[in-house]
Amino acid sequence: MYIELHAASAFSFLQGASLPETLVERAAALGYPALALLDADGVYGAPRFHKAAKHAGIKAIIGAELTISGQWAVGSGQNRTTRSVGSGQNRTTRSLPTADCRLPTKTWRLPVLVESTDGYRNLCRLVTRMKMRAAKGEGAVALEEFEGYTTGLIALAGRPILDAAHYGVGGLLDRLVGLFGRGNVYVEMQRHLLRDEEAANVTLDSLARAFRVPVIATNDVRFAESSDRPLFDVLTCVHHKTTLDAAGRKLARNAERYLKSPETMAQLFADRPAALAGTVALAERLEYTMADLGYRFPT
Amino acid sequence: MFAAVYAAKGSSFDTLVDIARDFSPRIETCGSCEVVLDLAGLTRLFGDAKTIAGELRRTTADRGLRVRIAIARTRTAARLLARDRPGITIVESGDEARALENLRLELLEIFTEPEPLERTNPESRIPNPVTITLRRWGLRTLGDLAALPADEVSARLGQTGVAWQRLARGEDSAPLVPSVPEERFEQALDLEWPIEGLEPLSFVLARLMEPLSAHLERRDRGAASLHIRLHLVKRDGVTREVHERSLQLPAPMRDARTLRTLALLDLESHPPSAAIDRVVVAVDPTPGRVIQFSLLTRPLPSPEHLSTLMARLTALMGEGRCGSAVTVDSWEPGAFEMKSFGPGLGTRDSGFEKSIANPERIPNPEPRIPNPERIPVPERIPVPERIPSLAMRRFRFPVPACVRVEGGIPVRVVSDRRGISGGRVESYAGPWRSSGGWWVAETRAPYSPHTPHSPHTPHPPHWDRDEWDVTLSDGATYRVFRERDTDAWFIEGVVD
Repeated sequence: MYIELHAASAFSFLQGASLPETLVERAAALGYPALALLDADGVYGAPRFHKAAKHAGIKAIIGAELTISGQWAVGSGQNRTTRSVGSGQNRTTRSLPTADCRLPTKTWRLPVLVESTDGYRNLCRLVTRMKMRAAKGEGAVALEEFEGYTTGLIALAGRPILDAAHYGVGGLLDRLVGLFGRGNVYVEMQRHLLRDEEAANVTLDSLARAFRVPVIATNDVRFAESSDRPLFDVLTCVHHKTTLDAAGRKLARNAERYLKSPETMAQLFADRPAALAGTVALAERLEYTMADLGYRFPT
Repeated sequence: MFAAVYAAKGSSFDTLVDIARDFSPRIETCGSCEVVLDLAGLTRLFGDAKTIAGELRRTTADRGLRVRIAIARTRTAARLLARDRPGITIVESGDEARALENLRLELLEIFTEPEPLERTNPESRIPNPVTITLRRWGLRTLGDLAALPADEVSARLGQTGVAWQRLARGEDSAPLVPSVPEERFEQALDLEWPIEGLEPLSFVLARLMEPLSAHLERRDRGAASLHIRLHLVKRDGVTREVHERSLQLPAPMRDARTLRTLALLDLESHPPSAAIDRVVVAVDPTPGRVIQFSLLTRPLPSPEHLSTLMARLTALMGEGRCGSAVTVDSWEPGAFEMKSFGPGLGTRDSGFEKSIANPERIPNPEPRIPNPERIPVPERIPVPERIPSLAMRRFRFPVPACVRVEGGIPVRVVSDRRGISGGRVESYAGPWRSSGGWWVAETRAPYSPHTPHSPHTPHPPHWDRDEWDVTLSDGATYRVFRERDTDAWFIEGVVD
């Protein structure tokens, strides 16, 4: 059995080609008991996703793909040297990046899943902080900002952790384990039938065993069916302000990022049954849904 | 004395510059609407400042321009007055400060803004920070700023404030920099009667190239590209058309014979469709080549010889079939395109050769081991061993193959191509799926033994295939792929 825990809808602006209702409808047709929606830097699609999932009778798991700043540019507001009045001594204070900071030099995406109400609260706070200080579409959150805001959140560490040269090989997974706790970090493995992906999976598997972190399989879904790939390519072109002829390698290499059936995923990961079973175990652990929002009107 | 001529909105700036050049050889263009003329020595030619201003205004009016003219001892004062006052303004020498004292402070922004104040939307225009500061101080006119003590302004605004105050006093911060007119490298010849064929054209081209080459040599320039424009006249003697060709040259050159040969070779491939009665040859100039020969590098053929050779080859083989193959930004397997051949670029000093020559430059493949105090010692961290280098020889056109598949996996590969014995699949990796180019309407001609893919057929525009790397019982490793839409199998290459 397999449950898709990494899917993005069209609410990931220009990075997803299917509406939440379409994803839910397809998931229900494929016999999924649950589905997770992780849109880019927000939970905009969560209400519609929840409503559709409730209607279809499947569990709607909430999460988001957070844009993480790779490193801060020199002279940013992270470290500031100030002079204490009266003492005459220089001291270095460490503060969170503020609006006057320069944008990070490189970003990557960290998928997080909401486990509890606290997790939803923390996720919303992180997203709000990111959005408040940057122009639309340019926000990023630093890993340091997760301190104290990881309760109820599950982090999925995928291929980006191998590309984080700033932290060294495995250093980023070490950092995530330190922030979220060993029980709240999963290494996600994907198979889109790409030649270079399998080598990355071998490395991810080794890292997961080294850090004693469980591995799960995901598909990083961007559209409901493989026939939606043309729409996804066109959205990619709009995102990059280019044309289909000029987009080149900005486009998808194939049409494998669709919502595959549990059977298809079982065939793809036939050599890793634990990664498939891990998705079911994790989905059972993720109890939070939008029904638990518990919104109270101000009095 | 300087004259500032400010053209109203909608005026042709080129016309204004032409008129200014008729009056003075030393003019400076300021933005896209204003010209400053150096009037030194013009009094003997035209008369006093008033006469010059009147003549300027009359000439511009004749050419359909509405202008404001100001003449003053400094360029700064002339420009400020031309912006502020309509008609003609003439300031006697020494009266600049008094003439400027009542002007608006915002006028100084013309020295920082690329566009004139009148042409930008006042609501969307962001005021200059210095202007904001000065207005907060209660200053409204240039006279207010000019009257402040310079050291106090410097203490509060730094050198920027000092510069603004000098401008407010009408003082120039730099001498006039004359704008040099663009020099055109072009030759044209009108023929008394139309000519047909390239042989008579070669004599015409030789006659045009000689003065063009001499012109380039005088200016120490070379031709970066060559443009040929042939005016054609049809047999009816009435219909006319223009045949244009442009050649990008691999290196700046100015040899007349080479330029003529290149033009002729290109016209051989793209001949004009009718008789020629006018020939225009132009080049885009670029600084001439400075060649420093080296004792350590192999001498290369001169760009003139090389480009002539490439032009001959292109005329023989066709457009886009000569040059160097380069990869393109595409996921399409084996996609490449041809670019112009340029030896010595990225071959001798490539990073690859440097890394081979300096082994210590190769990054250390050892991974960073995480801090053992924070995490348990890993059971096994993959340490990349020295991977033997593999190279795949790709067949220029994929070889059709018969592949037996069991359970979705190729188990036997057979081909009738000589040199590929085929056999049972001993080990495999794959499938690797690749697809793209779906938006191209052109239907794809399938590869098959019966309809071989012609070498002259353009590369298939869209693709959808699964690749496998298979090691056969004969010991060879091949890359095979299956076209998903036709279910046809091909051998793409062999791993050496």
